[in-house]
Parts: sequence; C-alpha cells; structure tokens
Amino acid sequence: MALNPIPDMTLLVPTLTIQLLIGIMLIYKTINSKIRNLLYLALFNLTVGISFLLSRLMVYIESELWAPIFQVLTLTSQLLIVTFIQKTFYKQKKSPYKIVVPLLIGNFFFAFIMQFFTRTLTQLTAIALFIYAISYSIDHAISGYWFAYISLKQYSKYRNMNIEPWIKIRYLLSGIVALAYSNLGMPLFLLVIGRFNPIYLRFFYDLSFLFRAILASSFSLGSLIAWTMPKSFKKFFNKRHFPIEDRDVTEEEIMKEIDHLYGSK
Amino acid sequence: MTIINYLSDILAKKINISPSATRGLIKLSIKDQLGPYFDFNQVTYLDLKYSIENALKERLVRLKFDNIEDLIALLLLELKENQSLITMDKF
Repeated sequence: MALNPIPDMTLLVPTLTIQLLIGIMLIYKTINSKIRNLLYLALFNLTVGISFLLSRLMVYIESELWAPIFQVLTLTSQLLIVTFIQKTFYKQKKSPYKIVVPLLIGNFFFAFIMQFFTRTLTQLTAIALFIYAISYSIDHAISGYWFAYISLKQYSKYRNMNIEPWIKIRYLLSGIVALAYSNLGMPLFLLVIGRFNPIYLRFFYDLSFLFRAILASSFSLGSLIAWTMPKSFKKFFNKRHFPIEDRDVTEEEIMKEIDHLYGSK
Repeated sequence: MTIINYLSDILAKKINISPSATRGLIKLSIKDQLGPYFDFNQVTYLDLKYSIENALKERLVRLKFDNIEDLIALLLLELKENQSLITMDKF
C-alpha cells in the first residue's frame, strides 16, 4: 500500500528544526562555558533530530542500509544522553551507568543479529520489525525513565526551596519530556500489528503516526522550552520570587560579623 | 551560582552566621583556590570540590570554628547530591 508522505513531513519539519536548533544552541553555550557535559546533551539532540529524519525516509525509500544506520544512530543518541545524565547528576557518585551502558550495547547487538537472521533467513519483515520495536522501546525506556526519574526527584526536592522557579521548571520539564521520550518506541508496535494485518495497515499506520506525532512534538517542544528558555519566560516564572541579595561581601565585613557573633576567638 | 547559594545556606545554618557572610566565605575560598579573577558562572563540580576541601577549610581553621572536618564533609556531600544545579541554572 502506498503511504502518503505529506502528514509525516508536516511533523518532521518542525521537530527536526527544533532538535537541530536545540543542538546548535547548546554547542554554542558549551563553547562559551566550562560546562562540558552540555556537549553530550547537544549531540544527543542533534542525533535525535537526524534519527527523526531517517525514521521517515525509511518508510518511503526502500534500502537495506536504513535499518543498520538508524540503529547505530539510536544507540549513539542513547549513549550520549546516559553520559549526560552521569556527568550532570552522578559525578563521583554511585550510579547505574556501568549497568546501563552494557545493557544498551547488548540490546543493540542482540537486535542487530536477530534482525539480520530474520530478514535473510525467513524474509519475515513483520517479525524483523517486531524485534526492532522491542529493542527500540527498551533502549528509549532505559535512558528516558532514568532521566525522568532523576529530574523529577530533584524537582520534588527543590520544589519548596528558595531556588529560582525557572530552574525548578527546567527540572520538571526535563522529567516530563524524558517520559515522552521513553515511550517513543510504543507506536512502533502498532506498525507491527499493521504488518501482520495488511488490510488494516493504513489504519494502524495512521494510529502509529498520531501517537508518535504527539510524543515527538511533546518531546521537542518541551526540550526547546527547557533548554533554550527565553528571558521573558524566566521573568514570568520568577515573578513571585524574591531573589537573594547577591552583592559581594568583603572579607572585613565577614570578619566583623563573625567577631560580633562569636567575639574574638 | 545557585549551587553556591545552596551551600551557603547550609553552612550558615551550621555555623550560625548570615547566609550572605557564608556566601562571601565560599566565594573568597573559590578565589583563593582558582585565582582572583575567576568567573563564578564558570564554576565546575571539581572547582567547587577542591575549593571546599582546601581553601574553605583553611579559612574555617583560621577563624577557629569547631567541628571543621564534619562541616567540610557535610558540604562535600551536599555538593555531590546537588551537583546538577551547576548545569541546570546555566543560560
């Protein structure tokens, strides 16, 4: 059945543009700061943008090469985001990173080998797609839920503290978009069902597209607001916040206060 | 510089001086450790860790506070637990 590329393109253009924009802006910010871990987040957004593009091209341009390229790109983006999580939240701290990385790589090779045998030996593309859907969903669930868990945990910790609200919103949004990201693989199972029931292929294709559109747009828009938040948004979120007086206190003033409180020790 | 404010509040509660004074102490310690022209917005996890372990500890010793080892251990633990603030408050 010939599938109409137009609705996909209407989703693709904004999400791809947003992902590339976030990636480029974060690279710029990384260059201008010493916060090197942002580079992993920047490259993650770029690879996600490119994988959005490839995922659509795969549907319309038949090629044996798409699947391995897409899988390598997916693995790369997963490794980038888990490295960002590790370097941002768990530096010199116990974390599941050493378990997550082998899991992602193992899952990649398992899916790669299984798909190869299924395609070449049985020609059952629906089964190959099913295996791919499982692998893709596991990958996204591992990194996405981890990011969502740690972001939302920190958000709930800071929620009632005297921290600028826009920073709290960044934690909250990061958690929410990570949840959308973790479920990006789910719509693929609808495509699998469609492949097993060719009469309803169009229906399942549209349903899959709709779910993926909702998840991908939420992820991209949320990431855009979280990571490239304009000053007007920060002002809006901070409108009821009273900032801490941040003038430079001199050494003499500190000594004076300590002497006053404790006397000359 | 949210992380500096956060650590200052913790130190202020422990040694009973104002948060602005402890913030000053931490900032002066960072400058002791990393140089007088250091930009606080560029501070990294390791910069803060070394500043607390060395320069801040020295200052607290000079000021003759009690239980300095415990104070430093607490600040290092809080830094480790809240290190994401260094990234999340940027730009």
